[in-house]
Amino acid sequence: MDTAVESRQLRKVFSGSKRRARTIAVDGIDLEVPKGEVFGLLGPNGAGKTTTVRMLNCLIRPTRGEAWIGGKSILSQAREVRAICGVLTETPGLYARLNAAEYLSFFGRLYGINSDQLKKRVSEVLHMLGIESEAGKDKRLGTFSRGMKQKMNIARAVLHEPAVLFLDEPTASLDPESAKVVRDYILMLKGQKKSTVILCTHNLDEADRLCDRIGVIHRGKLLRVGKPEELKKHLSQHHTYRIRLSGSIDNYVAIVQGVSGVDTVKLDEDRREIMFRTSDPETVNPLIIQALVRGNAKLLTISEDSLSLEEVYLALMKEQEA
Amino acid sequence: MKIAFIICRKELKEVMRDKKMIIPFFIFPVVLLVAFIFVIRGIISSPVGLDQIIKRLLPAFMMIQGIVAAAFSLGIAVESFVGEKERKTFEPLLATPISDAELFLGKCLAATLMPISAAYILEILFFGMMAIQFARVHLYYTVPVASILFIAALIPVVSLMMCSLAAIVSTLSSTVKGAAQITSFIIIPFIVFFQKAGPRIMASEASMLLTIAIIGVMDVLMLYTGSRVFRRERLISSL
Repeated sequence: MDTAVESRQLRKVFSGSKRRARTIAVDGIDLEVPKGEVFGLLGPNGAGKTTTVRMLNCLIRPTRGEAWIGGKSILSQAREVRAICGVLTETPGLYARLNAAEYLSFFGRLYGINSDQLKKRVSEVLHMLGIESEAGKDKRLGTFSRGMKQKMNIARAVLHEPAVLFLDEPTASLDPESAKVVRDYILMLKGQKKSTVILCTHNLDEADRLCDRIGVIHRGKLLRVGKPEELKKHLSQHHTYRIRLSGSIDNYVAIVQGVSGVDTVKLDEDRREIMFRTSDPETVNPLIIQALVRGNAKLLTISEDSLSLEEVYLALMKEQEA
Repeated sequence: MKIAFIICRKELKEVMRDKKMIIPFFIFPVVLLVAFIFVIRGIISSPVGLDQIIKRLLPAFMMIQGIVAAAFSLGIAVESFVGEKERKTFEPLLATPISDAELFLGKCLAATLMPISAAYILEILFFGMMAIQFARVHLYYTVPVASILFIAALIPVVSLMMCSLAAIVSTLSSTVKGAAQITSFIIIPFIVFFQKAGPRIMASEASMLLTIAIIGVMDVLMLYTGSRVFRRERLISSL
């Protein structure tokens, strides 16, 4: 398995000044992201996500540790690393007085794309994002809508076909429509282009939907890394199930409560379902079904209530605080 | 160097499309030029000590004209260095495979090329218009070659100084407004000094050489400091 991003004990300390206290922004992060994976860095504001990405992009030097992007060292091959990385920053940061072609051509030249290829590549990228006709007009970027600006930002980040794409809070300040544009594009990169993407976000739903694996980061430390499902499973020591019955359900709560091995039983008033938790579903669930049937309950469904990533995340944060 | 030119071209394109920048850039030196011509015309019509007045005033006016035009480098450089920070366009640019030196050089070129060219054009215009004014009253006076060389050398050194000043200020301020306030504390006394000391500086070749040498040394120091503080890490940390 080829590794696209690898870091060993990456640490960044911002030395203090009169105005600012000394901050350990990133504290010994070890990462290994294989080629073609969408890896999410999930954490609250100030967790160290942006600093990690900036170090991996060679924008800032780590205080300690080392990392390699596509096998190139961020310490000794910074220029080469930057050449194979694409960065989508939180704010579009476009040159308002340039038009789309001028803007992309400028960045294309900085990435060393030759003139013939550049023209082709610019129209290819604009076409891919569905903004060819709009961006083709001689309109300045300052007049673009927020969504269009973000598309331009994406176009700039992928123009040179980077081996690794860093997306730093790509939907943080976007309206739902523009956010969808970005998410759809990430899904396209994942599905068609098989690109390696590092996605920094504090949006749990976004991470759950887009990422192959997630690293939960808090106070500069990587708390846990795994597939969204693995993370959820790891924290689910007790399984929660939902029982849906036809007709009144109030009388059956006591029946479920009476089965041995059931930890807690709750009535979900809104959904009219009985919720119970158990650490041994294989033994307990058949007993509950038998008891309900004996009690003449009309059983419709019994389903596992999986943990949301939000619950996993909050549990990890709580664990860390403790 | 190729990268620096790519950056310079983009910067110039932006400056040329910024009305707030380009209108004063063209209007202010032209107004100054017209004002100086009127002053000289007034002096020509006065018979008292005409030669002496012209000999002292004309080179000084040319010098002020050059300094004012060259000082526009400061505005362009502040807009280029600090404006990029303010508009949050720095990060994508710094993430490209360019060196800090190439970026610094590109921005300096963009900030100095236009004001230096404009200053030379204005000097030629001023010189030509003066010649016409003098010819009308059969006065044949030419500015000494030493003074012309001094002004020709002064324009780029002042322009470079303004540019490196903006680079230094860009690490202190995150807004163009803030940077403009900081730089005004330096630029206003600088121009006032040349306005007052201009005739004395231009009175002898030694004082002209000394002035160029002093500003040249300041340029080297400020460019060195500017390039030292204009570092990716520093810029990114202040975003």
